[in-house]
Amino acid sequence: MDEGAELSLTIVQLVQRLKGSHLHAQMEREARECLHQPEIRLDSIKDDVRSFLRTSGWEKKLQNAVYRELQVERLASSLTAAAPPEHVKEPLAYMRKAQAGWERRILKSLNGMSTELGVPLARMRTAAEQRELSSKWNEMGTDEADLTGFRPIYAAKDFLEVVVALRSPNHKCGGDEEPGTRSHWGLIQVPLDVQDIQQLRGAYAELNLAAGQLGIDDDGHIHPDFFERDYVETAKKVLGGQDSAAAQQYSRRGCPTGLRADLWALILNSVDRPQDAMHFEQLKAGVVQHDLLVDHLIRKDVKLTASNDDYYFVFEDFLYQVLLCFSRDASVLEHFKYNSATPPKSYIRGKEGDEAYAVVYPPNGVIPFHGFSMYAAHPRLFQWPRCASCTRSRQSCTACSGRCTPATFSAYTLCPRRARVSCRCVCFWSGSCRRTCRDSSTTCDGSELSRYASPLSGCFELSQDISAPTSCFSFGTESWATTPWSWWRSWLPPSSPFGPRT
Amino acid sequence: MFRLCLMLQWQAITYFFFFGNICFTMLHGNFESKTSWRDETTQTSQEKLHKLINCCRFLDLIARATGAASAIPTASGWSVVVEHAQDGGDAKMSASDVTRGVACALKPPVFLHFGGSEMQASCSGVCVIDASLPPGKTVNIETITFKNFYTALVSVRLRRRSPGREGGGGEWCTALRDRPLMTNPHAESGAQDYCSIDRKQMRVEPDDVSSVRLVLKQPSCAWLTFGVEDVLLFPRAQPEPVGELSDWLSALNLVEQRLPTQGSLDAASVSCRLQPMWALSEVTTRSSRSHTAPVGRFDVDGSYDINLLSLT
Repeated sequence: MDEGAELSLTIVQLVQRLKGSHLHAQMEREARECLHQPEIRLDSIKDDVRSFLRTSGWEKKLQNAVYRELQVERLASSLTAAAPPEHVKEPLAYMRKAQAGWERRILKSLNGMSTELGVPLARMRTAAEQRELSSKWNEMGTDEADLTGFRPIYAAKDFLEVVVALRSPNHKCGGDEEPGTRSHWGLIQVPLDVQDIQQLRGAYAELNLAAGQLGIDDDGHIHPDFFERDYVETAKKVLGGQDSAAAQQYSRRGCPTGLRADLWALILNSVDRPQDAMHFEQLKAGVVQHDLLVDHLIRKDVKLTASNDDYYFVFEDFLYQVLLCFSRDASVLEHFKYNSATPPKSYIRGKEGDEAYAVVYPPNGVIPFHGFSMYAAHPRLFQWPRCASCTRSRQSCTACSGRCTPATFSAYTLCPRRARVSCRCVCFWSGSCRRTCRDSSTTCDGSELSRYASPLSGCFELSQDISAPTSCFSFGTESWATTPWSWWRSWLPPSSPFGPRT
Repeated sequence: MFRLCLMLQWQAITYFFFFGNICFTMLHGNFESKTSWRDETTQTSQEKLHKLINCCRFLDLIARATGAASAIPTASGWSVVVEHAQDGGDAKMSASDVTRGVACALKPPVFLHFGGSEMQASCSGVCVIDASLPPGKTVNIETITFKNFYTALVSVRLRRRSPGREGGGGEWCTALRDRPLMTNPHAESGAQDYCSIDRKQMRVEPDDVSSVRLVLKQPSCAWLTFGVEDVLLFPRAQPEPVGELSDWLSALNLVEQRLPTQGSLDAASVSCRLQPMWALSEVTTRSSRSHTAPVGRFDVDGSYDINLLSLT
């Protein structure tokens, strides 16, 4: 496919996705209303309307929407009509098989837990239970439900085992259990095309030691005039420009604490709309009406991770609100269109096999795993930054888009595409990167890899200087290992004792 | 546009019955009509047949473009079979060849080895696959499609019948040399992709081709085997011969002229332009049918009382 045809295809896809969106309706309305203005002349109506949309800021909003759509790693539509749909999502047959096996394992585990504990996958709450939950919505952390029987379905370590066990059937060392002369260096034996050290240096040039980074060069003993002051001023200019691409480029070197929320909202093009509030209330109603088994898994995970964390324990109630509502958001299913994963399916009782009564479980198609609640802290993966603004605004919850980005899907799908976890693991172990630990240890074992198999911290260190501190950055994301508390502080109102300093 | 399609469709049917010598099968819906052609093939009849095939194909193009695909038979449902009284000569291309590929015999792949005895032979990383058409048959190739299986580079050689020479196999020529199918021969990217080679990408005009030879190369020693699967040759649509046209075909040409094109309009070029859009619509239609739930509601009629999860 030549570049011209590819560009045309991309434009067609973008127009198709944006048409019918809220932005499209708003722009249409604005264009119609601007016709009353005297500057709009009939003989040049097209150019005048375009000029109006440009000067009134709508072009910038459209640019941000297009940029957001381009960030999602959609499937390149194959022009060869012979390619079946599953091949378009994932071209390698053994990857599809491994993905299907992994999903089947998760579903069996969930079914087994439901049968073992006698807890149905879903049930309607009684009226009394619904009233009680509604009254305790802002303090769900006080609920002392018995969660001892519930256990995480899987953790990052389990997924890492699946990734390590991947073998290409046509590879000469694919069937060998013992390492041989043709084995790859490291745990991952799949011959994927990953970036070498030079390409990584180019792709992550912003992390060069010569460039300043927030979280490192704004430390207390370094004068703010060297870096911090100018960098914060730049952030304000970026926010003033309201350009998503500029905000993402800026954030590669860190976001100032007090401006992180706004920058991430701009990057993710997350705007505060009245219909989002309605959508959030609908999701909340879904949580109140139905009790799902995954709700217990979410609570268990929050108790095991966030509640035990020095930084996140104060946000336990907030995490419940976010995650329970997220599990009810069916719009997340849209991401399965261009992902090799398949959402779990079930049927209404008594209607097994009837596709008209087929439902997705949970409604958003995402089964929580161990550590899942920590993703709620990361706006890039969840796109729910505005959810926390309810503490800043009028005490009414601002609805969130609730769209899970493909980054979250890359967390637990097997895919050889570059941005996915398979490639990140290979890249980590390819020998082209060497991680230097804060305590100057340079050895990495499987436990370290399992930590970094999580897409939240696809970290690397380009420097060979072992005394350099760890810089846990992933592309476009910030370190949550270095500044999680300060980030959370930015969400709180200034009047709060834990609020931001600025 | 929809009414124009219906009008043209009925005119096409009238045209078929008028000639009465054409046998075709329409596989669309419940509509079927058959007439056999008993007379020997004549040049005039051949011309009209070509026009008819172009008309049918163009009707399908209009239908797909206007979304009225269900209203008239699609190209995949058409099959024009010409019964010949004479033997020899070239077998005529059928409309189904255009969509399902020309029937050809695919020989088993031949891996080239070098070395002394069979025991010491080493794989050279080169494999040859021949696709031969039935004896006496030639084809003007539009596209060659196949599914890759760890082949890094592909070259295409064609055996073309020389003009003026009726007998003999023809001469071999290289149409495409070392087109990369995998960005990195040692890695998986592109290893199992569906590929297509268009006639525009070939150095020579792939006309009057009796055999196609695919020379596959895999320089990496990392793989156990390599090759290609599901090789299909799609013929080129015959150009419309110049001649006297009836009124409705003239009207058809008028419609063709009105279509926005950058160059000369013919069914083949329109087909090529629209094919990517069809593929896109197929992909999006298939995607939209699967894994979707009504936005906002995850229950069915207020009920979310479900059984265990389905493992299939």
